[in-house]
Order: sequence, then C-alpha cells, then structure tokens
Amino acid sequence: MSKVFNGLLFLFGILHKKIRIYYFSYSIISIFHILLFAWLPFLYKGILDKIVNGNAFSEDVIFYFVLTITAFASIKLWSTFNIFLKNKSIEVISNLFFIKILKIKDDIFFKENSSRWTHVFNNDIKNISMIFLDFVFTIPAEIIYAVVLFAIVGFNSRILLFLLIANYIVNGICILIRDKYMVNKYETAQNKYKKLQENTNTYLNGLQELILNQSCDFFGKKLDHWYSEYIHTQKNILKNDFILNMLSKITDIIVQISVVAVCLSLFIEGRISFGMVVILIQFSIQLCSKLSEIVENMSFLQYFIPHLDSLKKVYDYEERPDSCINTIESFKSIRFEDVYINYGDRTILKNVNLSIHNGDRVLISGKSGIGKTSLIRSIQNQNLINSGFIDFRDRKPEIAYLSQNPYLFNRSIRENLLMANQNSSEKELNDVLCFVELDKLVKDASYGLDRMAGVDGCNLSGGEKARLAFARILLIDKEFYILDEPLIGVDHDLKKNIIEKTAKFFQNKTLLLISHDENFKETCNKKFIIGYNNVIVNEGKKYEQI
Amino acid sequence: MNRYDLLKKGLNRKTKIIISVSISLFILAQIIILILPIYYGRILDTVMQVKYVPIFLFMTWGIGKLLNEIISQIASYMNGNILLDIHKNFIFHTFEKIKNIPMSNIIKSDTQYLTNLMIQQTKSISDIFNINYLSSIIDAIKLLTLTVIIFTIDIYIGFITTAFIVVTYFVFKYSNKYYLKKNKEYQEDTLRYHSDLDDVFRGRHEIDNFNSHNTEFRRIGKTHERLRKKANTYQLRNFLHFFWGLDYLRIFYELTVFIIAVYSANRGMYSLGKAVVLISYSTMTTAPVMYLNSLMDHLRNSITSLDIWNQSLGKLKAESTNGIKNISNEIEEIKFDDVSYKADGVVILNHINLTIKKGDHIGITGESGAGKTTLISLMLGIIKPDSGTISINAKNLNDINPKSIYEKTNVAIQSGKLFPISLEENIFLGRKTSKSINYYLDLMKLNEDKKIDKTLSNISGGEKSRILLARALVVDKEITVFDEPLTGIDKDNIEFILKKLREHFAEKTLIVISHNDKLTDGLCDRIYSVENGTLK
Repeated sequence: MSKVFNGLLFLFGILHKKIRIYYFSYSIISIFHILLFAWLPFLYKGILDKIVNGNAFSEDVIFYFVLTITAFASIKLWSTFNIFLKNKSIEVISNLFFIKILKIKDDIFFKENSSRWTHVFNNDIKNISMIFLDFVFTIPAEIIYAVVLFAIVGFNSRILLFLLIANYIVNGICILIRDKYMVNKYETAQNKYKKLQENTNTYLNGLQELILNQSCDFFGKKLDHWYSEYIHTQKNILKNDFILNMLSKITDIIVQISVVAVCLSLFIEGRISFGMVVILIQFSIQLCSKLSEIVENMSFLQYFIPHLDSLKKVYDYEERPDSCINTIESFKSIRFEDVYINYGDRTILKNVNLSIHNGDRVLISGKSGIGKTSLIRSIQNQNLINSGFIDFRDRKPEIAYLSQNPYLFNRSIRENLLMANQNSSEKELNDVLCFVELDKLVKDASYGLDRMAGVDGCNLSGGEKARLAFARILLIDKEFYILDEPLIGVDHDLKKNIIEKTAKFFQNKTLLLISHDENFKETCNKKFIIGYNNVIVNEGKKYEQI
Repeated sequence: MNRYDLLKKGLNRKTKIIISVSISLFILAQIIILILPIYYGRILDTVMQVKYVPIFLFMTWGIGKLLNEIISQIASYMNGNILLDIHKNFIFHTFEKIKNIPMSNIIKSDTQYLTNLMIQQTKSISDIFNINYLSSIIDAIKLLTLTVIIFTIDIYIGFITTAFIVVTYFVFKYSNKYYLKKNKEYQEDTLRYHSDLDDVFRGRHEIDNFNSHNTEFRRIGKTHERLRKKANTYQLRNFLHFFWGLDYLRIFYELTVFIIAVYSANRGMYSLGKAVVLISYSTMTTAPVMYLNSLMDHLRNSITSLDIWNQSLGKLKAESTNGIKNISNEIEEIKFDDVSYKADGVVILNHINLTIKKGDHIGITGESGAGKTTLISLMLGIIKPDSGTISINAKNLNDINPKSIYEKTNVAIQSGKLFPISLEENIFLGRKTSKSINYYLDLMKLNEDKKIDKTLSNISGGEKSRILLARALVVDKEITVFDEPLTGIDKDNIEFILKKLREHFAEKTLIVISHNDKLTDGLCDRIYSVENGTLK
C-alpha cells in the first residue's frame, strides 16, 4: 500500500497546484456526501414511524424527496467536473512526458526502440488515466461511511455487530483460501487448455500423415487424454469454488436472516421503533458487502504500481545538457588531435590529425565501413573518442547535420521542410525544392506541398527521400554543415545537376562532406581519403599520414 | 447441413437432462427471489400489529432465502460441469467431421483455422447453454413477472413501472449507441495521436538537429488539446445520458413509488408491510432494464459461431460419394494414361504415360519443383488431373474411395511431421505391429543416438527423416512410396539403411522419389526422370 501511496504522491507532485487542490476538496466533499446518505435513511425511518403512529408526515416526505434529489445532484455535479479535470490532468502529464522524453540524454534515448517511448503514452499514461476516476478519491469517504454504519448498528445492538463480524471472518477465510490454493489451479487449468490448443494445432498440421497412416484414432485418443486432463482440473476447480461460494454465501444469508430476527425482536421488546427496524436491516445488509467492496477498490490500486513506477523511471532519466551558444563570436576552427576511435576490439580510426577552419569545405571519402561516419559522430559526441581529443578553440559550432539515414516525418512535405526552419517563406521552400529538382514532382502531384510523406517517407521513393532530406538541410542557416553521404540512391545525371546547383549555396559556408562521389569535388576545396590501415590522408600525398 | 445439426448430435441424453435440470433450477431460484419480499412484508405486518414474530412465516421466508442461494449455486455448478462435457462432445464431433474431409481440402486449409473451428468455435457454441449467458433472457422474464406482481398490489405503481421500463429501455438504447460511436471515434483519434508521437520519437535525431523541440512540443500540445476537447464533449454527453438522465429516471421512479406506497399505506389502502415490499420491488426493477439491451448479445455470438462452424465444415466436406467404391483386391497395376496437370496456369506434367505393376521398384528423379511429388499426389487422388486418366486395376481413380488407396499404400511424405510425443509413439502412431520398437530403431540406426529425448526437441534433420522412414515401415502394405527419403542422413548411415531397405522391399512394390541418383540407383529397377513436365 505504501508503494501505491508513494506512486500517487509522485503523480500528484507533477500536476498543477489547482488540480491537486481540486482533488483534495473532492475527497473532503465526498465525505459530506456519504454522511448525507447515512442520514437520509433516518428521514425514511421518521416517515415510517409517523405512519405507524398515525401522525401527519407530508412535510417529511417532501423534505426527504428534495434532499435525496439534491444529494444525488451534488454528487453528480462533482463527477461531471471531474470529467474535465481528469482530461486536463492527463493532458498535463502527457505533455510533460513528451517534452521530457525529447530531452532525455542521447545514449539512453537511442539505445531503445521508439516504441519503448510511445509505450509510455499508449500504455502507462493510458492506464494511469483511471487513477482520476471518482472511485479513487471516494475511498476515504467509503471507509468513513462503513465506520459510521458500524457505529449506528453497534450502538443499537451488539448482537448485530457480532453477527457482521462473524460474517467477515468466514468470508475473509474463504478469500484467503481462494488466494492461497485456488489461484495456482486456475493457472494450471489455463495452461492445460492452452496446451490442448497447441497440441491440436500440431496434430492437425500433420493431419495428412495421420490420414495416410490411418492414425486418426490415435490422435483422437490423445485429444481425449488432454481434454480429460483439462476437464479434471477444471472440474476440480468448479468443485472447490462451489464449496467456497456455498460456504460464504450461506453464511451471508444466515447472517441476513439473523439480522432480521434480531431487529424484529428488538422491536417487540420495544427498544427500537419500526422505522429503525427497516433501516437497521438495510444498514446491516449494506455492511455485509461494503468491506469487501472497499478492499477490492483498494487492491485495484495495486494495478497502477507498475505503470507509476515506469513513469517515475522515465521522469528520473538524465536530461541532455542545454546547448547554450554564445552567438556573438563566430567559430574559428576544429582540430582533431591524435584521435583514436575503437568499437570494441576493432580500431575504426587511428591517429587522426585534421583541422577544419571557418570557410573550409572538406570532402572526406573512403570505402564504405571504413569509419567516415564515426569521424562525424565524434564531433557531436566526444565520448566516442578513445584517445586524443578534438579542440574547438573557443566553442563548438552550431551544426546542421544530414545523417546517412535522414528521417522524414509522417506529415506533409511542407511540414517536413518547415521543421528545419519555421520561418521559411513559400518562395524559399520552392527554391530549395528547385535545387534538388523536386519542384516538378510537387507541382504535378494533386496535393502539391501538402502531399503526405508517410512514416519515414514511405510514400516517397528512396531517391526522392534523399533529395527532400537534402533540401531540408538547405533551409537551415547554421555556421557549420556536416553532410553524411547525401543524395544516396539518386541517379547519376540528376545527382550531377543537383550538386552543380547547390555548389553555390555552400560557397561561403563551412562544410564537412562525406561521400565517395567525384562530383562533389567542385563543391569542396579540401579533400581527404580514409585509406586502408584506417589512417586518414590528404589526397595529394596518398597513404601518407598528415 | 442443418444449423442445429451439431447441437442435435453433440448432445447425448445425459447432457440434455442435466442441462435442462440446471436451467430449470436456475429459473426456480429466480422465482423464489421474486416471491420472498411478499413473505417479508407479511412478517413485518404481523410483527407490527401483534408484536409477535410469526414463526411459520419467518421460517418459510428464511428457508426460502437459503433455498434460493443453494439452488442457484447448485444450478451453476451443474451447469459449469456439464458445459465442459458438452464442449468435449462438440470437439469430438468436429474432429469426426475433419477426419472425413478429402485430402485435397486438407492440404488447402489453414491448420490454425481448423484448430479454431475445433476448439474455440465449439466453446462458443457450447456457451448457448451457459446459465450466465442465459441470464439476460431470465432477466427479461423476471422483469415481466415483477411488473405483473406490482400490478396486482398497486395498479398505479404498475403503470408507472411499465412506463419506467419502456422509457429507460429507449434512453439506454440511444445512449449506448451514442457512446459506442463516439468512443470508437475517440479511440481512433487517440491511436493517431500515439502514432504521431511514435513518428516524433523515431525522428528525434532530426528534431535535435533542427533544434525544433519547442515547435514539436507546441504542435503535440495542440493535438492533445483537440483530443481533450473532443473527449470532454463526448464524455460529458455520455455522462449526461447515463448519470443524469438514466440515473435520475431511476431515482424519480423509486421516490415516486416510495411516496405513493407510503401515502396509500397511511390511508389504509394496504398495510405498511406491503408498502415496504413495493419499495423493495421498485429497486429490483432498475438493474435488469439495463441488461435488456444486451438480451441477445451472448446468444448472438454463439449462433454466429454455429453458422461459422456449419459453413466452414460444409465447404470442406467431400462432394457426393455416390458410385465410389473401395478397392477390395490387391493392387495389380497403376496406370497413368496421357495425364496432364496444371497449377495456376503453369504446366507441371504434360501427357504422362506410366504403368506401375505389382513388385516394381520404380525411381523418379528430377530437379526440385519438376513435378515429382505431383505425380504421387495424382496417384493418391489428392489432386485431380486436368486431362487423361489414372486407373488402378483398370478402374478409374475417380470412382475409387481414396481411403481404400491409403489403406493399401505406405507414404513417407516429404513434409512429414513429428508430433510432440515419444519417439516410439511417433513411429507407431498407435498402429499395431508384431515387431518391437527396437527392430525399427536398429533398422534406422536410431538406437545409437541415445540423446534423442522424449520431447524430440533436439532432433537433427537426418534423424527426423529416419524416423519418418521407420514410420512408413511399421505396417506392411502393398505399395510403399518414399518422397525424398533420407535427406540429411550422413553417408555411412545411407549405405547401411539402403541395404536394409533393399532386403525389406525385395518382394514389394516401391516408388522412390529423389533428386539423389544414388538412392534411386540403389533401390530401384526402373528409373524415370521428370524434365519439363515429361517423363523420360
């Protein structure tokens, strides 16, 4: 229970103060509600008593009528408000976790599949929305109600109290027995049924052979055996359930009958009025089931624990540091100093010494898998470097990065482009599409720029995807561009055109480009090759270390 | 097939009796519940008037209450037990039907589908007799009886009750429809929201790259806001329907009954006890009305299952079996006369002529996919030729019951399956033989592999094909067909097994299909090869 409590504290800790106050007052108000409902039967009793004594009672009836309607109205009003509050709370939590997940440190975030993060929303938060249902906040009120009823019943007759407690004891024992012995059996029976299905499936899979070998009856016998096993367990469960149910129900009924007998005898003795008889019976019968209801509701809270824990875990993940860049000074250079990169035992890059100054346009080529991408990654994440260092001089530059596998979102082409730069005008969008020769495609398509790209650009061809991703990079205005194998999968002539058109764009920018495409030579003013031996060399002095 | 065929045949006399008894007991218990308040009212009246507990009335009431509980418990216990038996009967009845499906349909049908038919659908069908599912119908009967009883006590309250039931029924129907529709829409929207989130998380490296966290946050925030507003609207209306509308209907009804009953009692139209009875009846009316709408739901599911069962098995059943005879004599000759076969428009076999005589050892070789197995399927009547005839003992195959061919033919099929039972059972498959298991294990050199355990989980491909081969040797039949036997068996074992097989089949008809020349050479006298649909 303390786990539930801690979980709830955490959950309400991240909500607005207003929402917390609402739910607190809701709990308090529900206590008044429930006390009102404990009082209403006494009005009822008064009316009955007046009938018995032949007194006038019209005003009482009207009062009872009005009070009942109002009491219900009050409860319903609070529940109605709760609809809005519940949805609002879920929204607050959802948004909170959305931004949280976007900020989680890279190495934690990218270690997991995206579905792990979506799971937070479509499983944890979805289930947790039930915490905001009324029954959770009325649990304290329900407990108080039970106590009040007990007090009323106990005040009138100790025998009634004793009867109710006896009933609880018998029912409690039944529940304990069920929990201890029956739950395993339910599982066993379920497993046997599952096995029956699996085995049947296996045999039916080989039905052809069974028929060819006249062995169907053999299978029949096996089937009979499995089903009999299942039936045996299941019937055993039914029998035990029957006995336990019988025990608890009969105790229940006997207690109810005794309650009626006790109340009637109290009336005959003249200790209570007729109206009191009716409501005491009503209270006692309510109490018979009340306790188990409360226990059930409280144990239902246990169900939230794994979800609350999961949310808490996500909430506690370390966040990536904010990259706060002082934009007054432009960046000067990046220098690789004796950089070594290993993956496990394998050396990816060895002894890299390389400087990129502001205004340099560097082309790095080499065979695939030789470590070009690792070089780029090391700029963004220096944890990858095993020895040596990268010197940024004053500060890290602002980087526009086109990865080897650019992601296109399941939105329109326009929205995908605007992601790079929200302030781009329609003309700019058209311009960049023109650069990558996608303008025609967009114009011809009936939806134009509003054409949907599909999840990871699945509505586009590989070449179109690469071009769109390239166009998107051109919209960004940053001081340092890193392009990793741009325009992969675009056919040769088209690629040549695009490279020619875009060369101008990069003219005054700092660029680090990875490609084994000769066409990019014109765009760049420096070229390096990562040769065999994992050593990076300048093109002019092949296989020589720089 | 008649819709109720399964119900008729799947139930035997014992189950029928027990089912009727359990249902009648259940109804009896329900009737007792309705009568009890009348006794309760009388007890209250007597106590009030004469200040004395009427022992007889009280005992009747108490015993009635106990009996009601005991009877309904017994009824559901009996019902639960017998449902298991009925399900079993249905499973076996289905299995009998599946056994008789022609081979051509078995090959086509999905196993999971047959399993579903055999176990899940029959379960749903057997639930026709489930008391818990019948209870909505019993509720309807209960409601009717209750209204009648109320009418006899107080005619005005009777009318009010009828009006209440009718109004509640329609309000509930409308509200439920609205909820189901809107809830579905909302669930779909939520799904879209979640896939949008997934999309964002998948492309987080781009968002980091463009530094567009805030725009994404605003966008997702707006999406969720729309979602929330939609949820607010439909949940509010739903709440108004159920918790304001329907619930207030109930509260007003109960209060009205209370006021009328109390005033009538006060004016002496009936006793206070009766008033209390009426009040408790009014609370009994409200619950079952809500279930009236789902009156047929469970039964409808069961009947749908029944229809699925009938249609599926009807589709798979053999066409008419008129004029089909068994082969009673020994098979002397199998003849393929100008047989062609096409599958999906592609010619597999083209004008094949082949005669197999008793005692022949025939090998058929060819590339994989050339049509070797098709030849066997044709011979066994699993598939029908597009032209030409196949005859056994000069009788057309179409006129022969395929089962009688299976009885005379041992087939080790290429796609043979092992079952999750012991090695011994897998070889014997329940068939009777004079030889012991060790004979077959020696024959197939399976004895040396002590590691083969009962579950056959760690079996190699070679071991599997040896087990399948042994399976085909258990019963001596006139003809034996091996379709790609001995795949995956190592060289040393092949020599040994070939020798044993030669001894075993010296006198019998044998057809071996293999792309392995060594095997056909070692076992057969006549060897054909299938090339481009023709036999050479």
